[in-house]
Amino acid sequence: MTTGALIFAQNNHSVDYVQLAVFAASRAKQYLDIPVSLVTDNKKWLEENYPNHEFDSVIEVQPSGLVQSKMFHDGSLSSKFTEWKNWTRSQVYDLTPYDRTLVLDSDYVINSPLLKTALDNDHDFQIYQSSFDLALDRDTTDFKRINRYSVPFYWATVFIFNKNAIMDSFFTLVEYIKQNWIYFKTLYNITAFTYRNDFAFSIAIHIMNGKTNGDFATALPGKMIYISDKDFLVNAVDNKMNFLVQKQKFYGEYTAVKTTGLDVHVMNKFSLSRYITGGSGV
Amino acid sequence: MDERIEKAFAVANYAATLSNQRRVISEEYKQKLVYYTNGSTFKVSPELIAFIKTVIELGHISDVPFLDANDFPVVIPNVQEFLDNIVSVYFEALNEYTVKYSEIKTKRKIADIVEL
Repeated sequence: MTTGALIFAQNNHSVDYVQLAVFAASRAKQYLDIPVSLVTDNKKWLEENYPNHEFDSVIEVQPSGLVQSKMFHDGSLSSKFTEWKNWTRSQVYDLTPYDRTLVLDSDYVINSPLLKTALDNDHDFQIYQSSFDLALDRDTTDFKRINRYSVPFYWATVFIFNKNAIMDSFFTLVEYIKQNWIYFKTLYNITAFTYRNDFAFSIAIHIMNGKTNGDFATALPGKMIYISDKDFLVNAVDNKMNFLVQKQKFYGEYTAVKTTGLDVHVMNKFSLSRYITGGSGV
Repeated sequence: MDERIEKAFAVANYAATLSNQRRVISEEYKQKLVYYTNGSTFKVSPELIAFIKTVIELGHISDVPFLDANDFPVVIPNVQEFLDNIVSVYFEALNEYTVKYSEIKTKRKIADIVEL
């Protein structure tokens, strides 16, 4: 059985996801010691700008004709409305070269071997439902359920799946939900207009559970630890990371936080990119 | 601004940072308590340690089924070894947590708490 990590990176005009993926891959290799592959729609960009990348294989996909945009924040005082290419994730079953795949967002920074042990499990599907916001007292209800009265929220940021008939059906469902997004967002009373993999996965898990609270998805160890795009990554040294997290309701004010040995989803992609480029994300 | 007011705000900032950092090191501690064996996940706790110790005292020492953190059954071939391992995980995590907690307690500046 082959095991490896798969990272998705499709650049837009503002964010170099490929750069983030190169960084995420080096972390995955360092702490998990597994092969890492990249799915991108611009292999040329990777080869020209990051020739020393550590990917074991690069899978090129055609750019999607579908376009959606969303607001990307860079701290609490700055934001940019830009393209968001998140359509390919549902094809992961067909794209992965591995029998057991750890799928990672390019902005997920690994600082521990925690996920390696999860790769030794034989559960078909492991994903995070619980999360931990590094900012104190911020409203996290959006990450509990897909809306206040609906089904539990799951993070499509990181998950592990086995290639088998059950998971084939799951990703077929995710693709079906994506193709019929307007219908499903209405059915599940989702107010956001944009398609989100987190929502599609949460709905598909709900359906795979027979529309009840079943055990189709097994919890990954620990919690999905994150900073929002209104926070900053300051720096990362070895397995330690320093952040400035937004003070709730005090725009432009931040609290300093340090983590040691925690994997962190750094949602402020601009800040992560600045850190990778110049050593400071502020 | 009055110097005393300014100092009060600085202290409030320090207190908020300290409080948040305590949350974070508590989460780091909880993550360290995750233990894997035979493809199963256990969250090590004093209750789990006490239960396994009781199981051994009752004479069940090999091929004993337990429920893991996800309520999936797993057969543990050597229960004494399992106990030794989780006790080790527990104290390693707790010792590290104790050290971190003591360290930040003595810091009087925000920069020192987060080692900026």
